[in-house]
Amino acid sequence: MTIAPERLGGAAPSRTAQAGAVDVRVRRGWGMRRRAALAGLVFLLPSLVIFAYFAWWPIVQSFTLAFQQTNLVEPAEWVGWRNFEVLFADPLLSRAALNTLWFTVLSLAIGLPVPLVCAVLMSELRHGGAAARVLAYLPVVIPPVVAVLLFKVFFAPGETGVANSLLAIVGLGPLPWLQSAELAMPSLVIAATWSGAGTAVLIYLAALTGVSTELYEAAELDGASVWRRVWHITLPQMRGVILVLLLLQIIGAIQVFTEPYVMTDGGPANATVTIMLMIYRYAFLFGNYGVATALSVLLAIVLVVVSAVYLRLTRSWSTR
Amino acid sequence: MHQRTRRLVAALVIVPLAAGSVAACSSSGADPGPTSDGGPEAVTITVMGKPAATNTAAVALFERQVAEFEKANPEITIEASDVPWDAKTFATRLAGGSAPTLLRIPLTEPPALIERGQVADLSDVVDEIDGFDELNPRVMKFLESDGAVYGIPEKSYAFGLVYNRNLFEQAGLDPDEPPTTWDEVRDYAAQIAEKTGKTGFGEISTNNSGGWHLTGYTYTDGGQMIEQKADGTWVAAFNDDPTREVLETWKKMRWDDDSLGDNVLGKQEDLVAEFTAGNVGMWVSAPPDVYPNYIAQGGDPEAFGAGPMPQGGADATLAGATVLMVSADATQAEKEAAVKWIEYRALRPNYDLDVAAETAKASAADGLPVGVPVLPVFSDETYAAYRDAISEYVNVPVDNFAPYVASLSEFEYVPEPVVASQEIYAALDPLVQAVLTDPNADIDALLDDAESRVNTILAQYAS
Amino acid sequence: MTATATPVRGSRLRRSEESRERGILSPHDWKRPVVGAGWTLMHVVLVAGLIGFGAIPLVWMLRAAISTPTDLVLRPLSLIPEPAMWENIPTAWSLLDIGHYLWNTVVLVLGSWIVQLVVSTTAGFALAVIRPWYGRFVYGAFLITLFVPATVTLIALYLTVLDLPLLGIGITDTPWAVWLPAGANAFTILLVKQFFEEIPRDLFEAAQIDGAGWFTIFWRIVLPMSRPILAVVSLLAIMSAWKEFLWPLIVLTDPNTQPLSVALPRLAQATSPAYLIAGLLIASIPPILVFLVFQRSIVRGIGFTGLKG
Repeated sequence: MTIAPERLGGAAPSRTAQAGAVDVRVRRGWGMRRRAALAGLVFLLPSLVIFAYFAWWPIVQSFTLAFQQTNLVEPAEWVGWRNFEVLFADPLLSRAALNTLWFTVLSLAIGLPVPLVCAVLMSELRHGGAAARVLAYLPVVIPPVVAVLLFKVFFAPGETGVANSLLAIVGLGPLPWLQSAELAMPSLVIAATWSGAGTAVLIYLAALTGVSTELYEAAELDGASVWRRVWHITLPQMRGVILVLLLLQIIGAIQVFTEPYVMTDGGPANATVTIMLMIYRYAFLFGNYGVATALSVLLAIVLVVVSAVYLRLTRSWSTR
Repeated sequence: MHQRTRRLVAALVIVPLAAGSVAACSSSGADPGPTSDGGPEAVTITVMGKPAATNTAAVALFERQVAEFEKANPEITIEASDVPWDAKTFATRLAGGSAPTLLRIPLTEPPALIERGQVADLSDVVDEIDGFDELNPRVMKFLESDGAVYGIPEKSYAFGLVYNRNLFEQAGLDPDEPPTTWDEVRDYAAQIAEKTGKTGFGEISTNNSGGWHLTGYTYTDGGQMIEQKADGTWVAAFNDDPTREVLETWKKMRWDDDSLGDNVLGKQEDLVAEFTAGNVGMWVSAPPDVYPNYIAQGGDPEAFGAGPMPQGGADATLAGATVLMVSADATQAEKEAAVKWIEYRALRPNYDLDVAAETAKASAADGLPVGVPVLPVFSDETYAAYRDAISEYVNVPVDNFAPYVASLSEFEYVPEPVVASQEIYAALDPLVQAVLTDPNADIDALLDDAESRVNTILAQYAS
Repeated sequence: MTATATPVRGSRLRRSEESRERGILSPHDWKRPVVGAGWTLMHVVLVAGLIGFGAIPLVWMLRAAISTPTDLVLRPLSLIPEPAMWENIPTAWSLLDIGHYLWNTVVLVLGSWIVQLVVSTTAGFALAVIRPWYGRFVYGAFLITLFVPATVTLIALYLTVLDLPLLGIGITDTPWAVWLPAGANAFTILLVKQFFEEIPRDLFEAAQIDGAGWFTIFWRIVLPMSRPILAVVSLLAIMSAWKEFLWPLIVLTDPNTQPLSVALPRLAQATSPAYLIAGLLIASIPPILVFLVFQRSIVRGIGFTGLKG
């Protein structure tokens, strides 16, 4: 916001003054400016107080608490790098990092192409587009905890579980799902994707309607096949949205908590412990708030680095 | 404009503050009521221990007891919660200040709570309890420290084998002869799995139950989980043969015999449900604790069998207890009220024979189990007198418990790890889960890993 | 994408979904046998897939909620229960005390909604309309918080809520612990501010000439004009508040204060599967109803914020 010249108390004409209208701002002197500042403060008071207590102060505190230790009863004591030393000495940290990476890769493998393909198909529906959108988005409306608990039931081991019964139809044997270290993470990804993919579909759909149909016409007149149109027009036109959504999905996947906590509690044998779950455990299971905050700071750094690298890479793609 | 602005400022600042402080005040546990001149102070305490809502008969009995207590003590109001102690959420509740006045927790918790000053010293109030001196010293030694008394035991338990007599018969096994060694358990489990298709031996490994079981089984092999060195530091002691034995047996039962069933990642409540439904042949728990839940969920009393803790040569079994403690936030009046309630509900029925008989009669009328054999909280003589008093109301097939009861006098009771029990259990859960879910689990590597984790935990407890 | 001079066919272009002349495929494409058949097939598969994806699990949930556990075990895939135990639902309602937790959820959502409305409208008004000299710095300070994901400051936020600095009170186990932090949402401030900036400033000037104070301008001019953006903010606030899990889990340790999302996993441990699923069903019905009623606005809102954000 630039400071408009008329605020400085001069008699400068306003930019939007219509012929004949009295320019109120000519009358604005220092008194008006101060009154505006005060009124602004009054109106900003709720947001300032709330942000001060629940946004800015916690951010500052995160960086100091990472170097302290507290048991909530006595004041926090300064421990320097010890929290980080404890963290890096914990064998679970590398496990959690790998698990989180694995979750991210798996969820992107499904969560990127599938909603995109669905959206492209849905945008060409000649009837029932509204119903299709409702169906795609319905799982998102269900509270995530409900979805996760529902899938926990689906994934019951043994032959009577829903998932295993479905497999039995195609002749595949019952799988242990959440009971096996290999299958637990994919099961989480399935549940998480089910409950999150609808948003991506809707956003892609909105972006698709923004693609000018003249481009398609021109391409068709040039004799381009449908697939060439999709590849050379649709996707490039949507590139911005796809890249942004991809970054948001990566960032979201790195911070996954609900699924590992509710479905498997990090098991079996720590196969689904994620970074957020580790932070939670350090803070609320072991009462070790200092180490938990240290891990949060590390997570923040990772997210910033990932975003920066991502934006760097995609900027070069966009300008090609 | 100025005035209006000023009023706006005032409103915007004061209203949330006022509302916030009102809300914060009313959120603290118990309000001491206004003290009237001379009369006893009105007090409200929040207590744990109300039975789960699904056990309607037990809830009804509990509420009757609350009503009677409140009638006898008009200045005390009891607000009961049926939320049980949970390893994961309990620490947060204490830190957040929302834990009830009266805590009902396993015996693994007191040492840490006492150390952190989170529980109140009751020594000035316990003299009023009859028979306080006769409380079982095995449990009391965890609750007393430097002359202060921090808690009172409600009940004691020792591990044993819970088994389904019907499944035994179906598999061709004698229901009066439960297995007594781990080799026998393995054979019986394989037989049950083969002949009936049900889970031969049930296991649980989440929510700290894996570590709990591993500890209990290690004791039967003569092992220990932690030991204290001469300089006062604690180290892990389980990276040794007894624990290795247990893990090897599990591995064979799971992957060679396939007698552990499909779901090994449950916790106690899940296994109770499966057992009640008749899907599990045998499992390890405290039979007297399991029995009431089993009945409440519709289990057949005649099918319930209780056997001795299977042994690996040591004649020992894990023994724990449920104890009652008072939060350190409690006022003096709340403390006294809490102790009165403890005495009324938990202790009196054990030694006041008239009360015992009355409670037994009421319970039997409601269809609740009466006469489940337990580990005595008071002395053995008191317990014997108690059993006589309630004998006519006993509706539990006591004979089914005979092998378990007989074993209790033969085994050595080994307490759970004295420091950091629940944290150790939590650290051991993944070890147990790995062995039970991965056929290629490398037991030695896993044990080394777990040992270093537990040593890190124990490093904080050098005394 | 600039609009170029379009041929006659193009001038009939409309942006709404159903009446578009063409998308990637033109009517001519649809008539071609290979393309037409191929795409029709893909659409059939798509619709079947969507039904299987969105509808079937929910229908199954309904069926499981009114089945007996044995029926669930015997016929896991069937969508029709046998027998249909409709009484499971009221039993689960009372046994699991779902009404209580549902009420808690409603209380938390309403409070969060109000707090977000108050914060975003007052802040947006101050920044966009009043425009004090320091507005730019305040706005920047708001925006910075968008770069710090909430999970990273979680612990510090918890400690703040446990013991508010300067005030010395703790608000854990009260709804304030959920309501107040919900207001620290720079995204809604951004949305509202951008909307308010579109309002012609002449209106304000005219009102000021007539002697109106800032509050009157806020209340009588700006707010009534802001229905669209308030609707978007409300939808976002309500939907995200309803689904919240991690934060209420941490700050509402007293089971009496917990919303459904926190209470259900805890209840799941001690309840038989049929009652649990009945509970899940009850917890799903309000959001589904709201969605079906407001679906057009919601869908539009998602696209709008998705593209903007």
